[in-house]
Amino acid sequence: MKTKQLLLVRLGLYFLLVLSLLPVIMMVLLSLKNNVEIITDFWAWPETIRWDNYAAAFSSVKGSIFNSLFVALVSCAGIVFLSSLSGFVFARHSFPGKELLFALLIGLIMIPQILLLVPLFIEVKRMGITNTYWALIFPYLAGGQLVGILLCRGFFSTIPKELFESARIDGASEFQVYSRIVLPISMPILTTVAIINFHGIYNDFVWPLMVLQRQELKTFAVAIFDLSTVYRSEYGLTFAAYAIGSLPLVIVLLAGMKYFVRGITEGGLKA
Amino acid sequence: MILKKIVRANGSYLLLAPSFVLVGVFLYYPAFSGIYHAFTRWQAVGASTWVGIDNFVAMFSDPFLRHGLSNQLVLSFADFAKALIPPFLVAEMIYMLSRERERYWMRTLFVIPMVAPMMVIVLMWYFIYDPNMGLLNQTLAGLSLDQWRLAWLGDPDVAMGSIISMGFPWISALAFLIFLAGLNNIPPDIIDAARIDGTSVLKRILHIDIPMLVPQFRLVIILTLIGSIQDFGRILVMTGGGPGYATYVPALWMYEQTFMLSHFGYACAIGVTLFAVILTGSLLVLRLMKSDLDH
Repeated sequence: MKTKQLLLVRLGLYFLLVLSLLPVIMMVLLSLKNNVEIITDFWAWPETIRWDNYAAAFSSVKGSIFNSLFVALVSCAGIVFLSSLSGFVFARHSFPGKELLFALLIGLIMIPQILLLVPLFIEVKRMGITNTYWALIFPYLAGGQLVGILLCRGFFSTIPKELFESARIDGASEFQVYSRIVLPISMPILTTVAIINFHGIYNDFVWPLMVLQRQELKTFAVAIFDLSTVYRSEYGLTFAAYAIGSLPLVIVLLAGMKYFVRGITEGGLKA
Repeated sequence: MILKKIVRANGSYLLLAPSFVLVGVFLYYPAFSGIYHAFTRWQAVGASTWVGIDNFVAMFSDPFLRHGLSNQLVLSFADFAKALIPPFLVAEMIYMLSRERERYWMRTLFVIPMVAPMMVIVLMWYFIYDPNMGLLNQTLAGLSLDQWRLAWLGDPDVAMGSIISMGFPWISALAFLIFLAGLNNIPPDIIDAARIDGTSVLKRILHIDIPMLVPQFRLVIILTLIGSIQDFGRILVMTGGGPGYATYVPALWMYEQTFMLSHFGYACAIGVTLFAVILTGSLLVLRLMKSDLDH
């Protein structure tokens, strides 16, 4: 490829990149201003940087960020546990009806959320678990484990049998094989499963909006929606709240970018 | 014999029990409940009563669904264009970069917008369209183009266009990563052969890359089909379906039937119909887009 063409490609990529990041750039810029500064000169850098926006915003969103983190972390831990356990059983055990049971689980990946939304809402309501974290955690566990089991089964089948057999000869119990061998070697795949689910759960909006009405339980996505539609008067403060609420996802995704990318490219094609 | 095997395999079933209990209670039960209740009148109080296909018949004369359907067609068409064209072009551009390291960094940079929570991005666009304070009207005022300033979400003729334009320049990290992974999987000798033959980039894309990426295109099309029909959150936040019928989609109407009106049976019927559309569409795509690479 000619260098001139290559230069054009590069310029084009940087241009598209800036456009893609524009909302994020705008968010950070405006979070440091007050309303007057936003109205008078939208794009200007603020004369005095208003860090106090962040202090005020933090106190209004910290509860909801905690809720989101709690639900996401508990769900991810459960999903990782279930994926590795059931994936292990499907890869390593042989028992009657194995393939049928596997198909019964994996076939559910094809069922879209839209079919379940209303009946699941009524079900959860009748169980009396709306306005508890369980209304989020249980459905997240049920759905999130599916791709995890698929990936884990595939991964565990590639591990040589000898590894398990030698452990058993050494007198390791089934549980020890699982906890001492299976879990450690499957860390990369389990991290991938956890990060993909963390991203999905932290972003989920409609389901938490339906099942949590109590203010102190609301997750970040719902609380920030309330904050910006009901009390939108202080824009700088609202944008600071957006930025603070982005932090958990920023930290998790940047730290686990490799796993995140792999989860999308591999998980998608296999499923 | 079988019985003996089942008894011996007790442990395996026990270990699988947690997965199956969760799936049974939170996926299978609601799925069947939804399909069953689509044929019932089911409201906030009292038991459900069987009404046959009444709910489905009622859908035909529901103005919200009629407008919703035509809005959905426009929205889905735009969603397909947005998910297929810009991400594929960016993947191709990155694929052209010669150095491995540069490709890696570019890929990472284009994934970065995904670290902002979805709701934050949607709300940022809500603000971009804000008639008084928003980026669009503020920037137009700054350029003395006041006659171009619009009520981007409040004008029924403009609102759908505004919702479609959200996320410009539409480089979905998901689709882009899938395409780039597909390009990287093309055997290097094929690309080398094309280079030696002096094939132009455009010809290579048309005759090698696109045919080789059929599985990736298929995946992105199915994911977009599902997302486009069931993700009504963005519309709920931006316009709530308005002004008037302008941005209603069937899934949003299903949600409101549940929440505002407690017409659960009717809502289930809408859900089942959307499910049927997604399933038929997905199977059709799988059928039509068979590739030589599948075995």
